Amino acid sequence: MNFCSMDFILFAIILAVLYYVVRPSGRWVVLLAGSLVFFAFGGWKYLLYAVAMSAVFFCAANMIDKINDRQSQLDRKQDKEEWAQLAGKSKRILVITIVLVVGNLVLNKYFNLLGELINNISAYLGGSGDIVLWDIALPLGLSYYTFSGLGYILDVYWKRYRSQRNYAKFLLYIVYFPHIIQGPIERYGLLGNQFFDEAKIRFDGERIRNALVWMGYGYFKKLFVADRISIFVNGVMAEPKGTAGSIQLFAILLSAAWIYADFSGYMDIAKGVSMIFGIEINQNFNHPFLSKSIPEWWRRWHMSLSSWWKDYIYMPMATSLRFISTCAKVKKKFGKNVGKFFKDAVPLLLIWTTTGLWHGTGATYLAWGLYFSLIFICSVTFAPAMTKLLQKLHINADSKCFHLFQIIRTYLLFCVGRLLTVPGSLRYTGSIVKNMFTNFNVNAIFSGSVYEKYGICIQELGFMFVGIAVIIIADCIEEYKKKTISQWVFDRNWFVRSVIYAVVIVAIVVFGIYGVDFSMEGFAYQDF
Amino acid sequence: MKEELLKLLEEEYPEVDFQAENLVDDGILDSLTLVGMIGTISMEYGIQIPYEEIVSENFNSLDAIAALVERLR
Repeated sequence: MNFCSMDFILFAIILAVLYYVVRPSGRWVVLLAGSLVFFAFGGWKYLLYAVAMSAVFFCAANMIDKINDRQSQLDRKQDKEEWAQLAGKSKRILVITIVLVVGNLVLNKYFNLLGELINNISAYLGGSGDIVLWDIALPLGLSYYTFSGLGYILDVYWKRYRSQRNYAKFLLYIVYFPHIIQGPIERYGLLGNQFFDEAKIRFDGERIRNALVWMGYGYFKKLFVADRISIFVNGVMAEPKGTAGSIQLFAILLSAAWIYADFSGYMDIAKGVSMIFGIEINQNFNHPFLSKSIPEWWRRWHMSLSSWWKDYIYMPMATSLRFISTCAKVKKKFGKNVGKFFKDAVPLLLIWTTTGLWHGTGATYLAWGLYFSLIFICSVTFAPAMTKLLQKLHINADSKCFHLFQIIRTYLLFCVGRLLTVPGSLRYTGSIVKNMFTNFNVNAIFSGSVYEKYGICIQELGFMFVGIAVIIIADCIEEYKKKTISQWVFDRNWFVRSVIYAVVIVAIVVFGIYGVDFSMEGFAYQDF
Repeated sequence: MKEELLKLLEEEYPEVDFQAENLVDDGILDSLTLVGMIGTISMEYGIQIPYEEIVSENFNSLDAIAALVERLR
């Protein structure tokens, strides 16, 4: 069920009415039933898949928690042997669960790619290449609930909190519908108990008004801005030959705005819907276009994924005894500088390569991962030298001008990453780069007929820029005035507020992009 | 101990002011620096910092880091 469909709006209204009709102690059951129905709209088998996966997480976490309980009753020094035995048992359960669920994710995401690769190699060597590829779509929300469940098990293993002993309550954490299509990846510690906090889930008209503002802003970003840009960007990318380099460059620069409007628009809708039920979900974007460096960008962009990757993969790996011992050996053999470089670079390289492969299969995403790992490694390695260089050149790193320079530089670096993935193949990326140097034709940007060729007229282009300007202004208000956009709206007098509501509704209903026969464009991150 | 630790960290991360308070909470130490720092300290003092100990309270100030190292030595 697409968040931009009438089915979804109707579903949310019915669910909200049922939710508040039921007494507070039973509201979580309504949410669970609603989330299961939401899943069932995607297909019964996906619903069963999620229920089964939740059972795996639930059982594993409870087994680990019970072992933790027994361990806590022992004295680590006096009962050394029994303590170590329990620790080993708990670790075995953890490892088996991780292998099972990660294996399941990898199989679902990469089976066809690997099968195709093996078939091609086999055919090349004269074999029959008879691996039958799966004709199924990735189960709805698989990546997101796999990550949420893994984080939960690891947190229980690290004794950060106790496991949930009620399966239905745990299932709600996994299948809660606002976060299942494309995140945010929720931590059990932040989400799990909110469903049962009667003070939070009581009916509050002010909160619901706030929620509707977030949803409205999200629909504006998606239907007025993102889907309009996507027509142009897809139109340009569909024409590999005969397009001016300047237009291709413009499309790549706009594609960054497109992915932001699309993804953050979804998050605003999800946040608003969840707020109706009194449940706060994780913040996934914190104005990334105002970042001053790429590492800062990734702390502000798809924050729930970045922080998940950091807390559950990057930090445990980079601080593990095995890795640090290897670093010590490298340092001893090759000297201090090589040791430091190894210690900083290897985890970043591994993390970004796997992040790239999570985003997509194939060489484009591998190159994308390597590109960002290279930027991270450079930023860590050259940070001391950069500090000295700025001092030598008497550049005030805290000045507004320098900040503006950093923001533009970061945006352009992100766009290089888009250049690697948006065209769809590295060969096409190469041809665009070549075209930018051999057939730039700057005049094409100022020709109205060129835009019509790629699906948008000048008026549409104007709307696109107005939409982007609104998002930039809203981000600046939130960043520099420290006010959420809904607070800012509520601070206006009733007349201005009414005008804002009217303009947003007209922008969405009259000027929104609804696709051919009103078939909504899917969200960019929903297939992960 | 504290001076020795400060010298080690300043040499490796001259851009960070380790004398400040709330190193982690105020974002002075980002995760990249924190991870690198943990590697440096572990190698220098031959200790293992368990993942459960990697929490902001143990890295928020030079005093806290020194106390952690003393405890794990």
